[in-house]
Amino acid sequence: MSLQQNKLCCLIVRELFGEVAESVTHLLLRGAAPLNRVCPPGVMKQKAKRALAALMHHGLVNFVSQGSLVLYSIDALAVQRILRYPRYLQQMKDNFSDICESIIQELMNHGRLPLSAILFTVGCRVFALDPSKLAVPEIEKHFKLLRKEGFIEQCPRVTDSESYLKNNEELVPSFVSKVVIEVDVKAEAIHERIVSSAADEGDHPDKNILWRISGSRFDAQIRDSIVIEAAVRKTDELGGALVKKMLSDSSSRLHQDPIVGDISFFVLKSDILKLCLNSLAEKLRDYLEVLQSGTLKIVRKIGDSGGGQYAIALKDTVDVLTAYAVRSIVQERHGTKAARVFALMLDNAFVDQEQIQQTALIPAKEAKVLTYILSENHFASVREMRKSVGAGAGAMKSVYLFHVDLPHVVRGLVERCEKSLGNVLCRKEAEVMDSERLMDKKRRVDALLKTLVEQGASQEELKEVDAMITPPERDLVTKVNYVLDKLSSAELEIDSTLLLFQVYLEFDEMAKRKRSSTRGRGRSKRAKAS
Amino acid sequence: MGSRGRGRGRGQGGTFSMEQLGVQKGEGMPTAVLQPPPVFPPPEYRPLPLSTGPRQEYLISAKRDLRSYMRESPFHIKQRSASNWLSGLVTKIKEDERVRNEDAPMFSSCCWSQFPKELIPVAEGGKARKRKVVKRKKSAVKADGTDILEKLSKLEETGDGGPTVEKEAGSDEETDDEDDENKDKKGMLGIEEEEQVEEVDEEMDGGTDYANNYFDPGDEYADDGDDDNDEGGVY
Repeated sequence: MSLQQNKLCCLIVRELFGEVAESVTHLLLRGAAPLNRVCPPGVMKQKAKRALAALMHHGLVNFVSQGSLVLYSIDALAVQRILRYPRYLQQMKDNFSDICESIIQELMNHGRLPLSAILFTVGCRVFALDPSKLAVPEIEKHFKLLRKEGFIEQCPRVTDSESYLKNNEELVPSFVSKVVIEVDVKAEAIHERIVSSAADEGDHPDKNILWRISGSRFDAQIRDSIVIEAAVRKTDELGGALVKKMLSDSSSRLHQDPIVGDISFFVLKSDILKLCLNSLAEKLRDYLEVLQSGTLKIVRKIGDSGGGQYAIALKDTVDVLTAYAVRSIVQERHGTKAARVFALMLDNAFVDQEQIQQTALIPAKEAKVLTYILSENHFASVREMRKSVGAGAGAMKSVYLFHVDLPHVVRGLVERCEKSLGNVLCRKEAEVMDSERLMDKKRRVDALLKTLVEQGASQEELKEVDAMITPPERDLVTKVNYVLDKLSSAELEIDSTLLLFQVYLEFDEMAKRKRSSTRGRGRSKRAKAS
Repeated sequence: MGSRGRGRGRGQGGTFSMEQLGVQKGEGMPTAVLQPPPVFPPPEYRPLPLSTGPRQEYLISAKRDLRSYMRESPFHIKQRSASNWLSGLVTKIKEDERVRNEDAPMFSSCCWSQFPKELIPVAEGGKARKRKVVKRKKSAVKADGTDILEKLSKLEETGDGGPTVEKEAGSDEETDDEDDENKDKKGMLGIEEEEQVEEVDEEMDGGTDYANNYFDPGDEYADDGDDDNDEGGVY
């Protein structure tokens, strides 16, 4: 946990859950702690408890019981995922349907919900748009699809909530080991209730079975979409469809492996024919050929049986994309020439100053400045090599070799991304605070207008109410909204870079672990032999 | 100082030539910098424009929706900040509007059973305490100020008055009795009573209610429930 990450988490929580939750988060980020150490000074305990419950309800805080204490801990990754929620919704809209999008949105807003509550609210939304399109069983079908794909997961179920609430002995509820039960919701009754526009009475038959979204599955989905987008840029839409098909076969798993979707040529071809992509099926060989050539090798041939076994090289793709991203960051921050020097270092593992000057075709003095800038900003690392000049000892000459330690650079950039995200959120908060009263007024007038329209007020009355906000105020409102939108946009862009870097680091960590484990195994074997 | 005893190595370690750093002889050295660098140096390159288009619009609006939903929802909990009296007053006014929102249940009661017991609010206890406090305030105030006059005369008699705790307890008992007597009166008085509350409240500040937050309007006073940390509002 870095300082920047902590700050970012606090700011995200502040934006959505308020100041009390922010101070609770701040205390929790130091490590798991019991309740009395989580209550910030100057905050009423009741409020701190409420904040903790709100965070827990949204899956940001977890608890474990330890003796007579309950320890709370915060999931920083889950907090950061909140920034990505719009992107999750977009994925739903692109790959599934509007109803799926609504379901996920409901779950994001409420944290966790029983199925019948989801059906009711989503049904209400559909009904408000077009009463003829309302079909509760249809919504349930969409929900089941999302569950099958792993986007929605069941919250751990309490064994017996009634007795737990009555019993004073138990500190924490006991949970049933994960069992997905078929939920029987009375779809017809819900349908009736929506049509008669009755209020949600909250007494659902399945109120103990709650659902929430699975952040890691969504992250995997976005990672896949990055790879698909890369394929589209490399070839065309059909190439993207091909990669999507190959990925979708394995997307039921959370594929953490560097290579996924092992499929033979003929199976792939028949699958594609089923999707009615005839033009793709005809040129399948060519597409596969193009996708596995060049620097960006998205597809890899891993066998010859069945007309050739093909798979998606996830890790390699992410590696190359990350290198490109870092390169373009260097380019935008320090100019084209610096980017050229950086690319040179990236391509040749170790280069010395002479080589840089000669290969990059940049005058010696300028090249030195550029190398200096790169190492100053931690894009390039320096390694000192001593080599003896003469045969005898003593006369040593140092050679300085430059190289790029990509995981190191990426870690630094992740920090920078978090810092700038924090800055954006801070700025946003300040904007909101500055114009808080104006925005409040605007909100109230809007609400008033809405009720007046519902009551069927005359045009003149509406105009009168509308005039409560003066033209200069109106200008100010648009300006504030514009600034907020711009900041949100920046936030989203930074986050998309951050996601790529995080995926890269995840793969890198995994590779490292694998390497160390195989090395460990080798060592133990050797020990046994001796 | 450390190298004093070792005369031989001194010449090599202590100085270095510019050539070693790769600076040629006669090459212009930068002039000395006499001021700190600017806090916000102008960026060397302008950042790229943010991407636009319908997709970005969609993302932004989704973000806006989530934000506005969460800010209005009961999940958003505001702290009463009273760094200075004006901002304290402003936030107080705002909070009163929000009270309904904050008291609203965050989620249905069955959800509470998923959490550790220490977090589950005790609804009954809180309510009982609230009613008691409200009663006390109203009754202390309603009898045309005679209550206070009586109390003041009593205080005069006792001189020093003894410890404050006793006084408080005494007034409490009295007011409770008064309350029972005036129950039917109260209903009739209605609005007048409210006005009196405002009038006499100022006097009360010096009396029994000194421990309360100055900006607390009487009726909503006990909403905070737990009064562990409630005393001594920071003005």
